[in-house]
Amino acid sequence: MAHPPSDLPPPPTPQDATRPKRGSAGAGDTWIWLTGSALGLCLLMIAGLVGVVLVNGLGFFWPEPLVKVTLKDGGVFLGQVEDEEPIPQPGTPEHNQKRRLQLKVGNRDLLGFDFKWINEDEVATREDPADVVYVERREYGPLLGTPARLTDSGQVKAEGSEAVWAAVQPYLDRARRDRAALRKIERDQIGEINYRIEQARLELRGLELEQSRRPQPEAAARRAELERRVAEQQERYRAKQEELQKLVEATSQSYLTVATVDGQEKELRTLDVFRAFRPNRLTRWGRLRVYTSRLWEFVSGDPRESNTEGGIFPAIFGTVMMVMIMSVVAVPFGVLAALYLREYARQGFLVRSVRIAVNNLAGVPSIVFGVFGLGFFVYVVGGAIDRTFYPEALPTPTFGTGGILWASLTLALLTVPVVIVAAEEALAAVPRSMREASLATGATKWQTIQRVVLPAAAPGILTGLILAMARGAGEVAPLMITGVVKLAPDLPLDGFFPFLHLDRKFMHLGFHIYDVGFQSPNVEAAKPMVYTTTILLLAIVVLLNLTAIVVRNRLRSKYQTSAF
Amino acid sequence: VTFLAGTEKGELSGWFEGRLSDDDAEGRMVRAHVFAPQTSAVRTLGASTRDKSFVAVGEDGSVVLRHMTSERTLLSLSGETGAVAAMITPKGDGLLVARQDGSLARYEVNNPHPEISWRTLFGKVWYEGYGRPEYVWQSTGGTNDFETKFSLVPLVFGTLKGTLYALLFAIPLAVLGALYISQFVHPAIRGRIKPTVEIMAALPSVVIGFVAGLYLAPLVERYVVAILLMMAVLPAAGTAGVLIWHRLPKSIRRFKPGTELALIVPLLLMGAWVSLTVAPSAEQALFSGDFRMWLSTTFGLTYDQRNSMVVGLAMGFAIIPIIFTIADDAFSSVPSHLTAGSLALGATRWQTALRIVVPTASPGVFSAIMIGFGRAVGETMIVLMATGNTPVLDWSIFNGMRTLSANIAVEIPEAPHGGTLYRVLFLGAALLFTMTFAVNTVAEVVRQRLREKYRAL
Repeated sequence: MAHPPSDLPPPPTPQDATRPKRGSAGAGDTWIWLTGSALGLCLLMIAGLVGVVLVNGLGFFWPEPLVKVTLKDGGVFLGQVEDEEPIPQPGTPEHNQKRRLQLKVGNRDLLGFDFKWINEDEVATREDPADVVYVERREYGPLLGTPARLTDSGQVKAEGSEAVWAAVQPYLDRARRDRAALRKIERDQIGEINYRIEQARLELRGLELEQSRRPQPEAAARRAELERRVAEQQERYRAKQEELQKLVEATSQSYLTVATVDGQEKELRTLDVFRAFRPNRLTRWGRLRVYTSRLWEFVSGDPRESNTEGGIFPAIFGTVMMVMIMSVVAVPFGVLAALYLREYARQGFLVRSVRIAVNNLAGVPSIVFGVFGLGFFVYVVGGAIDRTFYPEALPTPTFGTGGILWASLTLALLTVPVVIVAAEEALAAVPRSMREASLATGATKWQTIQRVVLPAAAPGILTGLILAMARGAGEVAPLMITGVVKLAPDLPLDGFFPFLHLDRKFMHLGFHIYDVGFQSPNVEAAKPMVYTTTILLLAIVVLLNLTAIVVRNRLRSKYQTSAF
Repeated sequence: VTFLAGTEKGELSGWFEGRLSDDDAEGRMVRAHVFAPQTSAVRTLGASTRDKSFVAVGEDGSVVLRHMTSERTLLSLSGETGAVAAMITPKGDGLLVARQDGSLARYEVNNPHPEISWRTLFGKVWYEGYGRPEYVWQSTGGTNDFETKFSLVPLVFGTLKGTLYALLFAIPLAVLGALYISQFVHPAIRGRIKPTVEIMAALPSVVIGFVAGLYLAPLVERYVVAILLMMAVLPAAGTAGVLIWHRLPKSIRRFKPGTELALIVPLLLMGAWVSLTVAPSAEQALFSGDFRMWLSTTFGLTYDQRNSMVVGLAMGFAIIPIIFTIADDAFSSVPSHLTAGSLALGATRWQTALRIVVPTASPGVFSAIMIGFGRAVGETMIVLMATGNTPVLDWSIFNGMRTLSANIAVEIPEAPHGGTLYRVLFLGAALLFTMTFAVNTVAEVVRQRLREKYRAL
């Protein structure tokens, strides 16, 4: 129990033992407690929000045991218990008397639904079958059932739950390697060929355009050369396609058959099995392993099933990349503006209005920035770039449509005020004595700024940058109209010249949350995915902010100035 | 479908089938649009196949191009005297005029946005099939002869409605909280809470919107009575702490002025729990068991799952930190000699706060609220996710709205570059910008004045 130091504001007034003005002091105290309640409520809400996100998000990857529920009418369901609640029947005496449970039953392709509500009084038996498997596959969500058969090249390799489970393990390992190999061909090699064909085609088109303006004698030769290149790439393309075809055939020889509890059988290629485990046999350690492996897939994998499964790596990458481009633009502008405002400009009406304008800019709705980005960057600047540099691709726009560059520039506009304010604060906090010492030793003003002021203000500017990054990472509305898409298989950075593709559309964590949570066809099944994405975004933003707060507090204690 | 009627006196009117009141089983022909009279009797009419424009030819050979929805006279051919018939070219970019002498004239018309006028944007318009003139926003329709309805009124209304509910929720919490943290709290706690609020300010609005739309909205729907109860119970519960406090033995109390929070938070939780347990019986007693049913039978109000209450809570949550921070700034920079003087004269903490701190800092609180207003007006993701985005004109807290910002986000991806919709959306953005710019400038000027005042004190 700490004694409050008596010289700190606000001075605590001791409610002394006699309490002479009981009425007024008591009444006043009531109001104080009311104000305290307001603050308490705010804190509870923050805790509540973060708690909701964490609880709903972190639990998602944990493999829960499966239960098999037999109903009195003979129906059998196998699934994870998702929720249990009393049945609301307002107006009747049975209101909230009976209970029901929600099962996540999977097998979307067989049942047609993901979740099943079961009233508890319809349940005949409820058991935990030991040998059921939980199969994550390419399509239709998880498959739940007992392994029945494993076939390879038409021959039955194993039958019966235990035998199949033991026999299928090497196949699953192979499937993982095969998928990697297929992906390499599909994405990297064929992708490269496609890219080259597209390039050659554009060059051809450009040549035609040039030719129509001013005919050149050597055009025919260049044309032939380009056509030869296209043909060559197309030949390679065909070869690769064939290779791919063969590989797919070779890897699609083995099939796993799973029997579901309602007596149906589902046969699927082992190639399509991403992960399989027996949730009711897992030890705590085993669960942890499944958990980490799912988590890893989440941060490093590509999305599947219209973004509701798999990973979100492209979204993470897009977010980081956009924030980086944004910083590269926003920081120089912000710092230069702050330098001018603080060090060079004469403090007067003009500078005051500029400051008000800067603060105002920070308060302009982000969607307005988005609209500006669309109208100015995309259509005006992008359109001009297209007409000047990419006439061969028209009418398909290159820069004349949303892309990562325009999104980043829009966000840079949005975050520049943050940088300016922070940088100004940092510059103002540099003690006068330091500047004067520098000037007294004969340094010019610029030398003083460059060698003394800026280094001293660097941490403060850094704080501004971090805050700007946090703001940029969390902003979605302006991006929605300047270049974010729900699925962008090509990252803006890859191995083909010019490596950095600023015209490409990209994925973004915040937009991913909006899109999967509100636009996906199966919102209920996608919810956990959204929560986990939210945790990631929150973690990024909160970490950035905490860093900024820590840096700033260090600075404050270093200079002890009361800068606003 | 609209019929056009012209008379011998040169009057022009547009008619369509509409139901004047809800009792009308069948629609009747209503005269919805009356145009400024022609100079002479109407000889022929020609309608555009592309939009709701038409051309009227008078007995005296005058040719006038008008638009049905906006009732605008787009063009009046002055040199044309001998016209007997006219038609609008299929693409809407030209006029063909047949003259008495048998000649044919072709005019090029450059008229990209005939359906827009101040009245269609901000006034009531009688649209096809409606019973009366109304404010409607409906930018796209299923059929080709669809009449676009670009009234910005429902959107501005929605924006203000959402902002109002957010402010109703946020102002008390933020300002009172700021007063508490600047005047009454223990400095050690203050050092912890300030960063927490800063982080609250940094929470991406998409996260708040998502939680509001997918978690809070169903929750509120289910426990709506409990939530309404909490609005009364929670302040009472937190304040009730003062009673317990005065009963505590002095030895504990003496050491902890400014640590009331430790008691308040559990009390609030208890209050929430009490509300939740009492709510079903309260619902039974007051609303005969089902609040939503009661709402619709008693007031005829519908309950949307994603309604203004959810938006108010979520957007309020989003603007609390900004109001809180600026108000706290204003409160805690009240010169300490003022408060110290007041306390020295024997005023209590609360008297000092109420009579000295609040009046001195009130311009700061005002600017805090203005800036909060500006934020709420422009907030996009939260309203996009936490409301149904239906443009309605209705103050009810239990249904949704569509705001200018959400409207832009929803419609601009489908708006063709340079088209009417695109430009109307830009106008919406300009409106938003003007609103926030004005409000923020006022707030900023007030804040600077206040700072000078403090310096002078």
